[in-house]
Amino acid sequence: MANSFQNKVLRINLTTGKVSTEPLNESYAKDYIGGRGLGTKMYYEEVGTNVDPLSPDNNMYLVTGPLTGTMAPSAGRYMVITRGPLTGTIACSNSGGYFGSEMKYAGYDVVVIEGKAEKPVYIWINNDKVEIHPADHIWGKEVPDTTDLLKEETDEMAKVACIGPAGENLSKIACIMNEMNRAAGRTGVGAVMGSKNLKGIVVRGTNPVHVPDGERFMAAIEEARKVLAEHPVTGTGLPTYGTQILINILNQSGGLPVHNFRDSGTVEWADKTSGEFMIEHKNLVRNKGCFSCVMRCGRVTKTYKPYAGFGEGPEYEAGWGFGADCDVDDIDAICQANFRCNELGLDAISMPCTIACAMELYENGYLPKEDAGCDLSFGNASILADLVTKTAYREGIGDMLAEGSYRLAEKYGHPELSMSVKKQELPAYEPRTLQGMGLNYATNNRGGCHVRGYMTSPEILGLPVKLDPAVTEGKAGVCKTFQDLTGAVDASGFCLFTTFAIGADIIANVVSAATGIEYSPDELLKAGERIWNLERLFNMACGFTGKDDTLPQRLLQEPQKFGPYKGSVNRLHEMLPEYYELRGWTEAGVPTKDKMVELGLEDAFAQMLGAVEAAAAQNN
Amino acid sequence: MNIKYFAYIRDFTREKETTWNDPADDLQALLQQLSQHYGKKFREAVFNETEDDLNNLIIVLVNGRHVAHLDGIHTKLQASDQVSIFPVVAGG
Ligand code: SF4
Repeated sequence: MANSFQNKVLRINLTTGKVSTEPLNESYAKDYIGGRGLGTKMYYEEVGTNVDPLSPDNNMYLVTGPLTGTMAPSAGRYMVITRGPLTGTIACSNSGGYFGSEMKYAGYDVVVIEGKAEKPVYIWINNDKVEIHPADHIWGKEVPDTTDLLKEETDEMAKVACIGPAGENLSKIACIMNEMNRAAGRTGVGAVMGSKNLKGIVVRGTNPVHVPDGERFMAAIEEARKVLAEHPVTGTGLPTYGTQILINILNQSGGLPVHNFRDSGTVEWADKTSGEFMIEHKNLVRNKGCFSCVMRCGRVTKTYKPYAGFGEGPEYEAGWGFGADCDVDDIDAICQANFRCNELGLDAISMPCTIACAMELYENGYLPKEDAGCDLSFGNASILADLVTKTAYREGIGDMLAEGSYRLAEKYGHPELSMSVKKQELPAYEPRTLQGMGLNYATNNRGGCHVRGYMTSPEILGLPVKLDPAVTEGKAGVCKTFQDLTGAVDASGFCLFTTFAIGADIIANVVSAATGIEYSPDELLKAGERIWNLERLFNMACGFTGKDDTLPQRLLQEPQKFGPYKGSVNRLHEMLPEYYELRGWTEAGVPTKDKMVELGLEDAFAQMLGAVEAAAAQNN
Repeated sequence: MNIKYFAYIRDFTREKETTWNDPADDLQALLQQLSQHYGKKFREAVFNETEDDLNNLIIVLVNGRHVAHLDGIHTKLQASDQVSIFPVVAGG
């Protein structure tokens, strides 16, 4: 029966040059839906849990969801799944734009990259014609030039996903960029691509995507489209202001981390870096959307002297990172630094957070002036763009910034000043104000990450329910549900922002109509839970334990200095036991056999136990 | 009392903030005062149809706390309070 999968996996081995295709494993698709779930399952089965992230043995999976490339609204996502060099956990990074849908039109649900090319190469996928080309002439180029050159050499209509100098130089905070400004941003997936000597993947496709029952599918997506259009957030707020609108509300609510989380709470000048100000100050040129998006939250922006430039963004996280976290109140400097992240292929969350960490190390006298090579004081707007460039090329202090904040702070003897979980930098929500977001950060399978359980939504925005950010009671259950739902959304191909308006019922209906596999809302959430638990088993087999489900000591012990929640700390210990219980895990955070049998993960569970035992034996 | 406005609420107030002298002592009455001053669009944005509750599409913070976790539209106010009014927005 026709369904919205292309039912084909493309496998490319860069060591041997071999290109092959194989059918999609149907039972994986049913249990894991697609995208993040399918990629994690394939990675787990094919690679296992003990490869070095930057070795040729670490495969990279580019995976679309069953909705990617269909007419479903805001459903153009693809995911990159691999083992991440920044965290050592399973890494999965999600991007929008048009690359995912083009991959689907070329005829593939999954593109697997194995091995390592001897010299720089790029891959040219033109429907069923797949070629590996030399890329020596492009190696070293920034993302915009790379994208233009690759299109010139192949097809102007093609879509390009590539790395910039940061990925080539194996920065652990490098990302993969598609259509120049869309990023599979987090967890350092760009370094994995760089380690394979793979500069880019160019794709062009002209195949249709089918659905089993056109009428049913159109009715399902019409319902989703209507809800998205009528909801004030997805219909008006995101299109008008983009995500940078959050600056003021987080600031007024006392949830803005400031100075590497040292002086968090509220700052006087936040409005000068806000989404509202970017319109007033004429930074905003126009808004822009990903494939089939009705919300179009992307921003095309320009900046003025002395930070003149043109590009896209920033998203709220980057705007906060280069702004409040580094104590910079100049929106032009913030935007320019964000443009450089996109041009050089760096994660625009981890990059500013690592700079903020360096600033605190510097101000405390731990990072000497000779190493800094510049005045690294908080508030120095003039160094931001230059530090981003130095990071990508590993020049001077950039060589250490390229390793992310944890390794930087460790080198200077103060790892506690890295505001990270599992070595990935925390995003823009202060866990001493948003208690539930703290729980999400601590338990996240890819380290410090907000989008896998976006507790800001109920704790600050009141969506879909209003939860008091200061309270810990009841947060574990909501956090788990959000994490599971996000697992399913990331698997489907939908953009996560759709969930501000639509819930599991509409998503399940659209996915069922596209795939012909019937998911009730509960089954959809169950698939999300399965994905979450498989990621957890993977991480545990790699040596992570419940002890890693924690936050930087600062957030657990140092009272917040400013704002309405002045004096508070994150009370993780009040939420974590309940969270483990709701997950069906032991008090130490270990998944239980019963729960794993219920989720169909008994084999992965046995493998995890085996890996843990083997590691213990080796240590003895 | 200092009152701050954000996003499209500013289109109705034509100012980002105001110092409001002699404010009412609860939120409902304050919003009535402000509606009288700023007009119909502001009134429609902040109140529900019967004006006995907040519009679902509005977020009001008093001293940084969402009034849903205080006493809603009946939250008591003092002249030294900081009030912030937002439409429901989101991002991530
Ligand atoms: S909401 Fe924004 S990120 Fe999501 S698909 Fe639309 S434009 Fe892309």
